[in-house]
Amino acid sequence: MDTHEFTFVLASKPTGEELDVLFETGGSDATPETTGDGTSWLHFDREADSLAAALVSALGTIEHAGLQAMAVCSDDLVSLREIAKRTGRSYESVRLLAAGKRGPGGFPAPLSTDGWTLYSWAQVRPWFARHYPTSMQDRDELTFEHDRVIAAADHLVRARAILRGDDTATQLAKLLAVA
Amino acid sequence: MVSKGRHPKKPIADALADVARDGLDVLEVHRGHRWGMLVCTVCGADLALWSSPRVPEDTAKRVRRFDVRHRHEEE
Repeated sequence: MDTHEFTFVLASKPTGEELDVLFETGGSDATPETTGDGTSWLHFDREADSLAAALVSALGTIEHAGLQAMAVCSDDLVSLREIAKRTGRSYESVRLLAAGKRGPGGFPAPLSTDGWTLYSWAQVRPWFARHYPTSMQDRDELTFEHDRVIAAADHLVRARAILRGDDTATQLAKLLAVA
Repeated sequence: MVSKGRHPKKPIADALADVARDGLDVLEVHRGHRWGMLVCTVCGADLALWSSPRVPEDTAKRVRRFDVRHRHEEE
């Protein structure tokens, strides 16, 4: 089994007693951190057969200890400037591709539209790999696969937190099942 | 017998010694499973340290990363 690294964002800072419960219920491979702005993280170094299995297992540990996960830390959100940097293109070239004024079209939709326009690298990278494969020559495939799973897990954990106690959760879970 | 101020797991004790500098404090707690914490005195962030983590080398790695993330004077 490999050791998988990732970080969960918690809903609140655990008390000392909660940290002891976390340790005793399987969280001795987690390192708690509180950021300067008060956000609580749990860094995991978890052994599992896959990253996905490790994420599911760690979420179980968190919830078994009575804590609530809100998200998984991810570097998935990228600006057009960052996309330009990662693909070795100019900002203007990427801006035109994203706007559909150049290239094959179908550029992934941004995740935000007001002011700062941010995209999901997990969606943008496959688009470039399909249409401009030479742009991706220097990118590490294994790193991207890790980041892709982390990005998806982040969305799912956020959805789980949004839908906590909501009857529609079961129905909405089908959105993932049909994918 | 582990001396005061030194984490009982060598990889963690070594990492704490390596990152010792102005701006990072080590606070010993000795409560429950917690040995103590590494605190950034600039922004107030802290990293909790177990007495007996599953893999001490992993915690040592987290200590070194915390140090790198909190070199505020270089930002």
